[in-house]
Amino acid sequence: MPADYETRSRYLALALVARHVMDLLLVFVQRGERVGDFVPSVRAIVESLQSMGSAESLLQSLQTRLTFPSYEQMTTLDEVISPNDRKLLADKLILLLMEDSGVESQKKNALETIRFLYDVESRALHHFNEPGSSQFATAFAT
Amino acid sequence: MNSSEDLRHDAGSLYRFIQLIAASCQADSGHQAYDAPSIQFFTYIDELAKVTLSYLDRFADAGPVDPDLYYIYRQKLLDLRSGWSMLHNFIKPAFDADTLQVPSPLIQWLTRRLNMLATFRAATFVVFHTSEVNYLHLNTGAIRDLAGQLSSLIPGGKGFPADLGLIGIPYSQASALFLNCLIPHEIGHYAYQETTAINRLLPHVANSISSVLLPKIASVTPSDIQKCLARIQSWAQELFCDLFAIWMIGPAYSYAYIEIFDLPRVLSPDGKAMDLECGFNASHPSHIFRLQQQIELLKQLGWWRHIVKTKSHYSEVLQAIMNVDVSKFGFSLPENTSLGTDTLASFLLLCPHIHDVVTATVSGLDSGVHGFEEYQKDIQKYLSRAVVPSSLVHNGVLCHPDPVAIINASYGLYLEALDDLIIHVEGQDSTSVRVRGQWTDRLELWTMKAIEDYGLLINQATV
Repeated sequence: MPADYETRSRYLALALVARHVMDLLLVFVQRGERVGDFVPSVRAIVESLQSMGSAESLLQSLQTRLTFPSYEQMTTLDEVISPNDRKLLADKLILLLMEDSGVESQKKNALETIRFLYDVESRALHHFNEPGSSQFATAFAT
Repeated sequence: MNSSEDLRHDAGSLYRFIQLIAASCQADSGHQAYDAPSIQFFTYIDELAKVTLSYLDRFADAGPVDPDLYYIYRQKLLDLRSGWSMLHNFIKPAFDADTLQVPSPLIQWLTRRLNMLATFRAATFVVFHTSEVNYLHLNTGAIRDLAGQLSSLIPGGKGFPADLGLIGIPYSQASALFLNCLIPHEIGHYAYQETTAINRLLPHVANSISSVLLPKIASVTPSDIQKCLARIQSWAQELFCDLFAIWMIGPAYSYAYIEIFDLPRVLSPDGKAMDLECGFNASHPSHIFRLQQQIELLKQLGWWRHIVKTKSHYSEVLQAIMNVDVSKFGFSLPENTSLGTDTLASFLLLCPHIHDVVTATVSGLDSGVHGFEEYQKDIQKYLSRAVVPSSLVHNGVLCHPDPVAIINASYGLYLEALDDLIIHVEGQDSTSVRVRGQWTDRLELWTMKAIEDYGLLINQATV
């Protein structure tokens, strides 16, 4: 068993979380249905994106559980989305949660979110399958 | 190259990969015997494999019509392959740990002891072998989480059984008892995960970090907070597990800890080894800090007065560690020195809360110190005469001492009076390390037998 499996497992966990939400969003885009735990899953991503804004907001968000709690997971998100884009994406996701907004614009937002999550998933799987490729490995090499 | 045919081919490749894993997961295919938790684990893997294979069988049919989504959909194959690669790491080690290759009486007793707590009434543990000698670096909670996440991606997939924990032991140490007193630490990881202890700690984590970093927030980045948080979360879990282990098995855990890390060397008068072992690393608090925290709990539970009376250098190690000043502890982050210091300062503020969460988690559990006080001398007398101390006559009454008392009395005998055991046997040279090793084996054997007998006697008494 690889000694670094715990670190790798955190990357895989992120990829699987991203895929879980992507599965839900794909159904929404294709069939217009909010299946399973669609709302709490999307809301969790909104909260994570919002908490990443500043050191202060991150400290505040620690009072409750984060969706992406580990350092490895946060750095992976940092790799795929800039601070400004995080806020834009969070705003779009909030619209996705409001059932009374237009279906077509919601599907567009859902597609954008799928692409973002796909990038997150790709990076996370890469770090899982190629240990040592991450910022984490550099930052915490001891 | 984005046709259904390509997708069918790639799904087929993964299908075969998982099919072969499933084929190797048949508990009834060999001569080995497994206990119920292991069978449950193999059954879970087998069922997860079946639903995964069923899903893959029609995976290509359900691909999105929109060609832009093809590679997004396809990447799920890599999720599944990566998840199964992770599970793959645990299946063979679990098969290697058949009932003859694990310290079954100890694990069964620890499980029964854990089951006394209402939260863990139904908990059981599957044992797997690991090539890691250092058990304390295994955190099996992650694999349980991952199996649950993986199953959530597959229609019909079931989450990892909540009552099933995983325990890894070094493949060579199944017959050892004293070193396996580290196993309660691993059970602690299960308890930490199942009680979501982190959620109870998180507000205190936030307050601790805020106390240290808020005054200088202008120069702190979100990345700094995340680095700090990552270390503190990891350290907190390790400390939780150490304290949990002390509750479960008493000072035998600290003794085993000293043994596996060869810590008597910290008694060197030049102090260099002690200083070296004060440094925290990215995933674990320092040995000296961890033992100091264990000592604090041992004192609180009433074990300490027995430890200081033990005539062994292990007792001296613990007493020396107790006196190490907090200023000796350090955590180095080469790229950001002050963040390393701040992370450690935040963690030190958190520690009393970790003690509180452990105490709340084990609420209602008897530490076992009173049984030890009552029966220690009798148990050691029996063992030094090569008699298994499962039933003993104490003040004229037949008694069955609890394994906490048996293990700690036996460990005490091993540390301070192994000579007394050896000199009773003609022709044995107690100055020979080989001979001492042989008698230690026997001492462990008798102690393990007493633990096994206790389970039978208690079952008999309750029938």
